[in-house]
Amino acid sequence: MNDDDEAFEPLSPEEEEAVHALLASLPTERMPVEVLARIEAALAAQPPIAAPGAADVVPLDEARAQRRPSRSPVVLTVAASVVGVLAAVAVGIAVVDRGSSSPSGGADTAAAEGATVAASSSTGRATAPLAATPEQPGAPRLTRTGRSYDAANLALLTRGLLTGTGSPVSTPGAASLAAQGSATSAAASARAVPPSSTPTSSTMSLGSAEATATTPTRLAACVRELTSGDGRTPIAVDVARWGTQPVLVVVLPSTSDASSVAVYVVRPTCGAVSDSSDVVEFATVSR
Amino acid sequence: MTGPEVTDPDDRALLARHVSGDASAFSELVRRHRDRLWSVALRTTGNPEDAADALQEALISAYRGAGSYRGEAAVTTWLHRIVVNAGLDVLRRRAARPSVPLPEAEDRVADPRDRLAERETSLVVLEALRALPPEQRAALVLVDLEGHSVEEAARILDCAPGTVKSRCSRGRARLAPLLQPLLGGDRHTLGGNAEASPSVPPVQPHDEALGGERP
Repeated sequence: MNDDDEAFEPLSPEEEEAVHALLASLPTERMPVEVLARIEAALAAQPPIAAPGAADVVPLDEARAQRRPSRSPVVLTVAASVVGVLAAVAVGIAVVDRGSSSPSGGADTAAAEGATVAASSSTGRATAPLAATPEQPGAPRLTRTGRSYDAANLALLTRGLLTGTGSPVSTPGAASLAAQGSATSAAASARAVPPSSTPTSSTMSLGSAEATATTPTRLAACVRELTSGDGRTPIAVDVARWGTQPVLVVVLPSTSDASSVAVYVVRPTCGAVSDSSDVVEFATVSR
Repeated sequence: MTGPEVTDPDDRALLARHVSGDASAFSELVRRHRDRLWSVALRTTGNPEDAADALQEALISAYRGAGSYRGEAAVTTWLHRIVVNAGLDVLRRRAARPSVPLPEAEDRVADPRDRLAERETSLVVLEALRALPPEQRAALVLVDLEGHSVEEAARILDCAPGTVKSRCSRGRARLAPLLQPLLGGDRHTLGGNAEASPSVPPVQPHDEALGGERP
């Protein structure tokens, strides 16, 4: 039961007005000068915002070409179609990669899905993050690694998710993502996670977490809970474990730094109730 | 809520200048609203350190994301939304680390009878606010302390107005015993026979159900 649902003894209108009046009577707090100085310094360190249509914005086609320089669109389309069919009917786990060799690849999808934070590359240009992945715009990468995450390996395994070393959840959306990523699976295999983080053999107990990940309304509710509805959408979602308990690892664009991602480890009940206790762990991880 | 409407044309112009490359425009916007933004951050997070972190994070996000502002709400409403969300993010991070827990509620209002000055009252209220769940706190900060309408707060918090009303009522109910000494009465005599202000919309039992916040 969350805080919005639990029983409470309501105040009388007079009592409620008294509390309201007290709160409303408080003066605005004055920002300390040291805080203002700190914020102004942080803003001054930011690269200038790119004006709409500025010359340093890389066109969508060019951004795609940068991510997949050695394959023609026709080859990619054929390969994606074939692997997509295979992924849809396959039983078991296939290693996939979303096909992004760029460290900003995760932000590509997120920004295209309406993230409100304008991502910028290390050169300060508003480039690839504005490009949508053509096959599955708006969908996060869903995986079911079953790995046991902990505070020590969270950053490493998260980067593995971003570079595509997880196993896809068998959903139509995931199948499409599998097709999308398979073209460069060789690149993914070059970035395998350490043996200590290999998936556990049994995934039966992950059912509750997988149900949350693969049910669009539940996943959306979870993301809304985590982001307070600020418009961010997940880059990746992994069905895994925290210690022994089943969890979802939800990777979101950082609100403050395009070179990082915000990683939430949440219980499968995430989104079922609006309760911050769903969050088992949080970390900011550089891409 | 009159502030945003009075200054909004200039705020929008400042934001437009920032988006078009004016290096000073965003700082000017921040300086113009710095105290209210600070108030929102401080009251949402409950302490100055977290507030400074949240506000810096929020303003950098706003700086970078200014191009996404579509003018559907006042600039201050847009900024408050980003600040509140950054503050709630900070609280979630803290909640995920039990080694840094919030202080116990019972410790927060230590002898408020001695705190008669306005500043001290603010501190007592700030500490009492920390006893609330983050979502209730954010709703109360926006509606009661910052003067946003329920509808504006709902837009900022991305939930239904009924949800905001419900959270405000629940929050006030939780705050009342903590603020008793400042309110000058016990739980059941607060406000005496005074007429209820229409500015405080009563919550209906079904408001939360109508809120539609969760699918």
